[in-house]
Amino acid sequence: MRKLIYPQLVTLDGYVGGPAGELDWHVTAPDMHAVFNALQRTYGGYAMGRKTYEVMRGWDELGRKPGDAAEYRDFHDGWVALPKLVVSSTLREVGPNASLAHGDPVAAVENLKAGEGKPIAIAGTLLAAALAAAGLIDEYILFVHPVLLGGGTRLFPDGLGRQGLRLLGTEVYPCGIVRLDYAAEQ
Amino acid sequence: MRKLVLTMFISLDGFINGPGGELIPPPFSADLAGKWIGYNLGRFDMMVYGRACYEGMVDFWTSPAAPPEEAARLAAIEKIVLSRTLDRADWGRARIMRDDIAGEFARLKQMPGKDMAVIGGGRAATSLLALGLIDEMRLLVTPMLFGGGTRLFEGGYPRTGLTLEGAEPLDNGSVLLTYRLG
Repeated sequence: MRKLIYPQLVTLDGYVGGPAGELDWHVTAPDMHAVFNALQRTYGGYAMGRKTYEVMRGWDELGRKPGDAAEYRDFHDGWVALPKLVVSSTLREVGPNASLAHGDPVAAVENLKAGEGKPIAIAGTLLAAALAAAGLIDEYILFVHPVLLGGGTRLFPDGLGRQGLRLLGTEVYPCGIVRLDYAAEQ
Repeated sequence: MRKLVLTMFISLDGFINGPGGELIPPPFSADLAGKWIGYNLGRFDMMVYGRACYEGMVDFWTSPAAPPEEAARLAAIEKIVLSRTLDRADWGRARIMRDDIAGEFARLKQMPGKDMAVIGGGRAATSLLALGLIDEMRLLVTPMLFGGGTRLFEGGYPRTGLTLEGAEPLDNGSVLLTYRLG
């Protein structure tokens, strides 16, 4: 069995994007990017929702050119090397190293999880909520940014059900981000 | 100047109580007694509650289940209940605040005394944030997803940058996050 982990950048008030999808509160300074790059190196692949995949696809190009910033090139290299499973009922076509799952997203990810290998990282709040409700998420890795947005897309929508967690570790970065790692209690 | 400090425990998914409004307190431990309850009793001389939270606190802290020493200390602290509907609050030195919240707190901050803690109430917290009255936040993040209930951060206040003051893991699996506003 592979581990299913859910890494997310989130505000203290629990939003992953502002009312109009704003992400400008993300800290992308080189030292934070290095942390995200190192985390990506621990993945064996991605399971992604359609919207998140369409945003993240930017990394197919971003960081590809030798003149791009070193931390971008590093993330790009990790991104293109990882297999991506994209869960969507509407998408017809995906980019390099990606495959489409049209049917039941939970079943598709469960199938992926049944294999052997490094952890699968979940990307996308809708997919994550479906997987959390099905009890499939093993670990949460949250980068809590020091800001209140006051509205937007929530990391944890209502109705996921109660879930006990075990704190695995915390880390504080100079920019004020707090990393919180939790394992889901079975 | 006295500070108004949001002092609450929340689940990792941001709720201050469960789907049925039930209180789900973090597991009792040495850190919870010292770094949370003891700290709060030492630092604050005024506690601010929303109505529902106040009623829950009265139920617990006047029951036989409450630790007697802390219960006596808590009863002796001045309390404000933010409510438009409550007509009496008679648990140890409580009074009701209905109108001109911004003006009342501006005056309280100028008065001599220790800091003031907003202890409970999602709507109370949200309206105090929207009024720009909160100076600091101390949040005890408990290791659980409640999956529903009252959210601490209901939204509706302006975007606010925070300064992280500390992030301390406690012996009961919670994390104590401290932020300064403004």
